[in-house]
Amino acid sequence: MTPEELEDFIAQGNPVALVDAVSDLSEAERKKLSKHAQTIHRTLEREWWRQQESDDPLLKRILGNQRKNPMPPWKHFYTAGLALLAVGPCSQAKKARLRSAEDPGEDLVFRVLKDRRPEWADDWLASKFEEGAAGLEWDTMLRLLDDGICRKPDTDDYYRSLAQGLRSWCYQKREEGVTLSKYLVERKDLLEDTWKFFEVENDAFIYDWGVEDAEGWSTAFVKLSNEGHLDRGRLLRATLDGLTTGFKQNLLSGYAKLHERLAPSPDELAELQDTYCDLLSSHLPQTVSFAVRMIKQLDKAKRLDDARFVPASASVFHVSTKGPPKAVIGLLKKIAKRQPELVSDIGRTLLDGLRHPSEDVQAAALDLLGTLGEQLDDDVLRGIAECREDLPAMLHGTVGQILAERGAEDPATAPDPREEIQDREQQQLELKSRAEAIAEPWRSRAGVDDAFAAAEQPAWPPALPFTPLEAAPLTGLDPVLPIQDVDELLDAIAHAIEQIESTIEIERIIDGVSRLPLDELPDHERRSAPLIKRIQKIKDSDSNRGITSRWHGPTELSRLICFWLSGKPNLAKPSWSGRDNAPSPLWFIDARLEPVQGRLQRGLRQCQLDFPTHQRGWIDPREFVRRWAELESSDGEISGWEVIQGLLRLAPEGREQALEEAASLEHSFAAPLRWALGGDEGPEPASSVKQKIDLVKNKLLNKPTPEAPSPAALWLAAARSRDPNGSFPELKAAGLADSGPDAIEPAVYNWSTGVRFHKDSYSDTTYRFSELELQVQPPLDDKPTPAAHPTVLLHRNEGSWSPFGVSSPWIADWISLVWPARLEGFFATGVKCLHSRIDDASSNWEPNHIYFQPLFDPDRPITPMAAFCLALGLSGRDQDARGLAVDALVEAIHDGRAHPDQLGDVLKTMVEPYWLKLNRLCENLAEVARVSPLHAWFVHSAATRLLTAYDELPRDAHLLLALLLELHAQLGLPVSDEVAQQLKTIKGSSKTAKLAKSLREFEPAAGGTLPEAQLQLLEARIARAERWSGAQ
Amino acid sequence: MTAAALDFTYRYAFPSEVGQTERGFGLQLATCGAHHEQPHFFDGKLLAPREMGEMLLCLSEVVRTHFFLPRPPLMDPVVTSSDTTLRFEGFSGCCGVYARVDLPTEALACDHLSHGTTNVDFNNPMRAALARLRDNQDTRLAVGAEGVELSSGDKRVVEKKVKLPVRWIKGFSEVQLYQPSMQLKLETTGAEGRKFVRSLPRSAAPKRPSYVTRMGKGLRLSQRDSKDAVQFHGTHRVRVLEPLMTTAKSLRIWSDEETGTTAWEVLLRAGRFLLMLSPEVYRGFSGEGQALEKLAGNRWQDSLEPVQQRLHHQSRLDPAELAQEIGRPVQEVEAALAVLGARGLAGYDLNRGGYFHRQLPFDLAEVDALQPRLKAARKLLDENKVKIVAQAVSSTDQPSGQVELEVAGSGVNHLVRLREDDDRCTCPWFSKHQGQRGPCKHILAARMLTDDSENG
Repeated sequence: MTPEELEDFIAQGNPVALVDAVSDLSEAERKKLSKHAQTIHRTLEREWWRQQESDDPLLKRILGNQRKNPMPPWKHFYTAGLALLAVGPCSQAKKARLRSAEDPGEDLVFRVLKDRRPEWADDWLASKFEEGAAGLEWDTMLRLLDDGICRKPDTDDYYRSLAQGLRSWCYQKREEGVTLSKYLVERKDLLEDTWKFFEVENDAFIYDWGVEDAEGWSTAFVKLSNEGHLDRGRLLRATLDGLTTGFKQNLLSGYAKLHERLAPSPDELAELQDTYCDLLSSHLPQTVSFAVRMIKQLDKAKRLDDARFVPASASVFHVSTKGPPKAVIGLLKKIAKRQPELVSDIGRTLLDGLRHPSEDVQAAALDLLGTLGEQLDDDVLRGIAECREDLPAMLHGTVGQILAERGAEDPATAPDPREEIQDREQQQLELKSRAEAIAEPWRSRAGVDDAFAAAEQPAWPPALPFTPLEAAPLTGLDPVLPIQDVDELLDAIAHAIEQIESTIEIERIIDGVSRLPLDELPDHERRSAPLIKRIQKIKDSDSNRGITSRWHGPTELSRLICFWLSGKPNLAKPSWSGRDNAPSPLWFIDARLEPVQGRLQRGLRQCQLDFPTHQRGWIDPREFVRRWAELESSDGEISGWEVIQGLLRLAPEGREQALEEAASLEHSFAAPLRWALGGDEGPEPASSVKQKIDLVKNKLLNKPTPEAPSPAALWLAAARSRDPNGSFPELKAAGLADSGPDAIEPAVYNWSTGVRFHKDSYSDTTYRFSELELQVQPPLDDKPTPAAHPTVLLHRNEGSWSPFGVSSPWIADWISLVWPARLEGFFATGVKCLHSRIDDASSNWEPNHIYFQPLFDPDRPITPMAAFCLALGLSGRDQDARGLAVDALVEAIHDGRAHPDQLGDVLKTMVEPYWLKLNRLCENLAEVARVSPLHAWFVHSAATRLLTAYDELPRDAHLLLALLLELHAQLGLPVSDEVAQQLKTIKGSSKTAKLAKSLREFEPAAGGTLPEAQLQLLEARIARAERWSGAQ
Repeated sequence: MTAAALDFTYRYAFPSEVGQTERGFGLQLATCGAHHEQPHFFDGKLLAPREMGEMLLCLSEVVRTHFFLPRPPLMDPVVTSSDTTLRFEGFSGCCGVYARVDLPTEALACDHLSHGTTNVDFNNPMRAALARLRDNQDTRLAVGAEGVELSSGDKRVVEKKVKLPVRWIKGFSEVQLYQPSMQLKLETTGAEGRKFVRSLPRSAAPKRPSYVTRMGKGLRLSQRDSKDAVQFHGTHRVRVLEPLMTTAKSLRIWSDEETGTTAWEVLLRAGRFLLMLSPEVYRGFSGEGQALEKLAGNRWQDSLEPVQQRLHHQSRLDPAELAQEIGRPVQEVEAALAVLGARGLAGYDLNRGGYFHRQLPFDLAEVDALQPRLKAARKLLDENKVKIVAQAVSSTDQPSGQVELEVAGSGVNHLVRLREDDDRCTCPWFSKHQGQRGPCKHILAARMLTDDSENG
């Protein structure tokens, strides 16, 4: 055969003709064709998809007739693979693609190898087993073994392939009556091989076919064992041996299931008793659970060796699930009754149960220890006392009772209550004297007097009444230091190109670029050249998450940095931009940066008017006016965009003084500034020709404008700075056409929850989706919001793949700095995002944790939307968001901003069935409650409010009741009448009913931590008032 | 051998097992050195068998785990025997977690003790049996066996062929260098430690860094940095400690803020368990570059050989004593010990605050020269791609520590600014990590050049 003839067979896609043609070739003749076969195979594999453009003559010759077919040329692949197997060396034959629907059913692979009988056949077959199911058809493999063309490899891959391949092969032949068990009776050699399924990691027992006439391995083994083809005793032992292999958990479950399907008799159970006891020490809950089930069967058959079981049973408390430990405690209880001489050992075993993570297991273990009474020895009693710290507060009383009954020493002796009361009174007096030293209005604004009044009850005082402008946010935040020189600026840019640590860093860079000329540095080219090169290199990279990223950054930021470095704004322009151009606050950010670049082009260097003086974007008004005055005196540019941004960032502190100083400012934009600072002269009705033009322009506007903002936009910013929550009808008269949220009227959000059911017709499964309808008043206009209206843009979150059109945490955080005084729009976006991923794990592409960041400002009020964000974070699966929601709530309780009624009320809106995930919520609330008595009191109050919202308790309500019971015990609080009444309606013997009964009958013991919680609340409010008053 | 992994065969004379031995019930560990020798290091009785079993299981869990890919490696732990301590060490398959069990001889009744380091066989049946050890059962421990020799045809011989990734061996060695700069940040009781470890997420772990922070007497997991909080990545990596916490006396957390490395030390009756975490889940200890400055410099070279000659399996190496013995400055000896640590010849005991001698049972000769950044820096020097462009002088006309150098990069020259305490470079690597992952190749090359010129 010539190489051309070989090509012809492949070009025709005629595998049968090829195999016929090569059947009589000698090894020498095959060797001559080998290189060409390899070239064809390689070319086809690598180049077939480029057949349209490729000029490769070989590809053209082979695929000439396939040129317009977009599908892979399977026939050609298969024929080329056979050619390689027929003439190539072993290393190449291993690469041949030989599994194909194109096989005409003549088992051509078998024929090729039978004709050729290569000496490397064993090696080649072992490699096919290594590939698993993808390697070769199972019956081909069998024929090769049966005909002695290859020898059976003793490798793990062979046994894995046997498990997988034979099962699939029998399934395909089921209509011919072939089943695994019938086939294996005929093939004793393969039957013997199957014992390896218990030694080699494989998926034989994970599942059985869900089809009546198709057998899986488990069914086959049970049949073969019942029919006597497999040794039943060996099989039972093998399944147990399999459980100690350390394979993946699902594989081990397969062994356990098979063992149970074999239904061991009492004699067999007794014979395997030691192994079952050994399996209790497994760290895998499923294995332990299986062992406990078998031991329970032994017990039922009255064949359990109690003395063997009791010491072994301690291991069961290592697993974190509670089922097996509780079952073991049940068995120990029975043993204690029938074998009193084992009670001491049982007591020691139960000590491990007291350290179990589940409170249910701890309670059951303690309960049993309590019944063992007199027979417990001193070691066990000492052990019980040592475990007190591990036990929940609701069990502390039982511990004390057990120790007292046995006259044992209890190290946790309660302190003298009189001394405690005296101490508390003393602390309260000290707090009172601190409170009296605080001037008004700070004491009232921080709710100090309310807290003292509530402490008499005891009850929660009303929520803190302050708005951001009534607080003194600069007192709780670090100042932002501007970049000092070009050297520092270059380092900051270099780092920000790669990675952004904080959004304030971006503001520092913008301010630095605006002020500092690059050529101030003598060797600036040496420094900037690597940065320019780097920006150009990564401009199209998807992994670029820095300031020049096409996915993440505002376009103008990248242009500004590039222009400053190189004098060319389009240095980093990507081939295409990944940014979603839906309306968002990024429109404003881009517009705000454009004039900065314009100034650089004109060679103008000046400070950035809107540069924050403090974290979270706040600007000290006095500094703002000072900068403004400096710009006026130095003929600097006062950009309307920067004025809008600056006004929205003005902090409440020092406004009066700033207003006085602003009186001398002459620029036309100074009037809105003065009004923002509290001046009397507000906007006038639109009358001038320019204002009318602006009005028309605003109405016609259908895209963001980079031009100067209209006077109406400046007055809007001034109004929202003057009073973020106020109504400003005068803005309409001044020409403001935008009637959206936080324009003329403040935004108010409402929401409703629902559930949508979707029945999947294919799987007959019904899926449930929680639905959320979020409405803002006044509603958003249909037409795009102007870029100069950032307060309104903050409510626009219609991006198609990300609400703000971006997915980097730093951009979302940057958006939160646009208007630090009011973030309802920002939090509403957070609500939308958190709800959409409530059952999803953390994601780098949808970083929802960022919506909790502003809640760490000590003077950020917890608004309804912020509280909703917290509630969703506490109920979600995203660990980053969950963690920050817990942290934010811990912080807000600690500094007195959070109020339990508010969180409880938000949670009440989520009680719709299938909406609230009580397991997640309760776990997170319990974590918050652990922090301090104040936190425990908060959680108790919020959870009580949630409980009373239910008309009918859900199935998982026991989680909420267990949390409440523990907090009642910890705080020493009695159950309120309202809650007791509600609990009375719960009947039955469910877990919820049992806990409801325990709660109803709960009587608080002395020594609860509620008084301490009250002192902590007073301390929080006083500390806030002191901080605020110190600002003046 | 491939470029990335060394072929290695563990060859044990018998499988490690728990059961009846000639001297009583106990744990018999099979040993295998770098050249397939089977040393016999220890024989004695365990005073707290259950805890020891748990610690060895936990160590084995770390060694068998790849913390971000489902690819379990088959490496075995290493044991070092010295006068005062029996130490079992292991390294995770992902090269990001190091674990060590320190068993002080007080927790063991020794019948036979000799010195050395060797691999020990950890197999599944033995692991299962370890979990069943109980305190009320007399249990012996033997590391190796007397007079055992490998014989061909012995069915009990256990052979495990593995590919040891070079970065695994390097990481195993270099992890020691992180420990001397660690500070004890948090400590809590066993009960509070239990609550903390159990509070860590069971399923999906946070993607962002986590923090452990003090909360009253206990600890709390937080997702936010705060004063005195310790940052770490991968809550699931800490969760491996859970089985040990049941009987723990206390939990200590050590950290080095500069490198972002943390160490979690569980103190038990039977001994101590140390778990060291790399700064991020996806970052291993090898290639982190903490060792590079030391390896690149030459201040240790005069002390290296005399220090190495004085290593004889001490459980604590005192730099001051060694310095006196060899007549070199203490700092030089400390640097030499760090270099020996990076070469697998010394481990660091955080609890006792000092190095101990042990020689990792792998052939490290091939690995030593494979530090890629160091290689790249040497290449830059060999190709004359580093040149000094400015050197500041002090008021006395002496060269100050401030030097600026130009280092040729790919299509651009990088400017390296060497300062007393804050070297900087314009390359992307440095710009991104700001020196947190060690110096870049340009700074290394610059330092090597200036060190050479200083030394004439």
